[in-house]
Amino acid sequence: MNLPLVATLVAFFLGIYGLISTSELLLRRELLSSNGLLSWDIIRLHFNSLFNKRLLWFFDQLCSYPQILLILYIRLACSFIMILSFALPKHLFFFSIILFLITNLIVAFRNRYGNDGADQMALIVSAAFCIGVISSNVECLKYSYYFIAFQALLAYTTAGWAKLFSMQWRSGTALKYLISTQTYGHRWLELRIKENTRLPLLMSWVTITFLSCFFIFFIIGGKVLLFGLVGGIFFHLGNAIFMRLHTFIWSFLSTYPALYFVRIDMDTFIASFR
Amino acid sequence: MTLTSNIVVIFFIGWAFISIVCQFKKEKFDVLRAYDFCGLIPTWTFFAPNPVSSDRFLYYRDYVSDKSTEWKKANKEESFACIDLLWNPSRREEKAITDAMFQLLRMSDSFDKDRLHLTTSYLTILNFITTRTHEPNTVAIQFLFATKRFDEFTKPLFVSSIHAIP
Repeated sequence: MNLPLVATLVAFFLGIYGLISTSELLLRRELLSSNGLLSWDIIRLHFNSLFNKRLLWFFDQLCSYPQILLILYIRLACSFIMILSFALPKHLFFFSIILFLITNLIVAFRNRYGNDGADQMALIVSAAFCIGVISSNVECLKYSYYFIAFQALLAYTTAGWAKLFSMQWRSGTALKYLISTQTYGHRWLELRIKENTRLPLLMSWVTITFLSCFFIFFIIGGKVLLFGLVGGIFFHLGNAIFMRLHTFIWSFLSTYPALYFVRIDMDTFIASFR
Repeated sequence: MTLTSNIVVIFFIGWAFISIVCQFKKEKFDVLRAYDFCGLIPTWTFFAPNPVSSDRFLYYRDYVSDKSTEWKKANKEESFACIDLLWNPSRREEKAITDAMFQLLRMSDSFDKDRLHLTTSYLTILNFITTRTHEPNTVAIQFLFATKRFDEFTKPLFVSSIHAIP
């Protein structure tokens, strides 16, 4: 697992995330218009007291409708390039990473509502990755992978422990009600939970245990880490199927190459002292 | 290590430290989030410790002269489709409505009505409601948030003022 291979894989998964999320926004572009739910005319009011007129004017040029559509099309193009980075010239990949981050930052800044954890992870990964790439320094690229791996571990651990300290999650009630909602629920699973009252408890504790102990997979490393990563894929796949959290799988998958690389790198470092 | 490497390491360590401390929901860390315009300080708690346990709906009604219509749902409910596993454009709208509603609900406890009317979340929802289909000769509109758990009745959480439309 070398640095360029990790870069290709991170870019690939980030690109898929970017392709899906950007195309969804472009299809529902009316949300971004003046009459839409994500109207810049209203969102900019939040910044009236924070920014001066010149800075607001600058953001108006980027975030107003239809200018924001150009930002989204650039983001879409960058997503394609990142997916195909293994077959494209390096300088194209280099600029696509930078533009992907810039467009991500603009969209995240502008769209104060409607973003979720997948968007946040993708933004953080693309920011760290971009810093590593543009520094043109092998050490910096490695440090960016360490940071990405850290964020993935922090995400899983925090999610697990927050659930561990929640009585609703420990009792299975949280999952029972969550699956019954229209927003995050699934009718088939809701019926199974009603038939088997122990199922939400079991599912809750599997979720809590897996997430809380994910960092242990990383610490042990080797095949145990691979098992953890495969478990992670199934976990996110389950979330996509039953909770319609379909972009999480791609944004979190973009952290897995870095996780695996960092573990091997740590093993190499430890072995050098023996 | 070069100067660039040192700067990058310090930057990542600082970002990592802020990421860790901000996972704890303390008011003193809110000042950091107040200036995090792009969401670079993560929140990784994901449905915990208090998960979503009910659906929240946005309703609106029209006032035609002095009579009001029945409450109508502001956004149509999308039925589940297999393609949702890969691609779900309606999700962003649903989440945006929920986010705006949650923010407005939090503010409604501490802001008076006049100040609440000027918040981004209130105006966002009001703007959205204005673009829905209305009865002919509608002179004013009003919106309502309600919550419903599968085994309970629909409960109103917030009712807006009545707003005249042009």
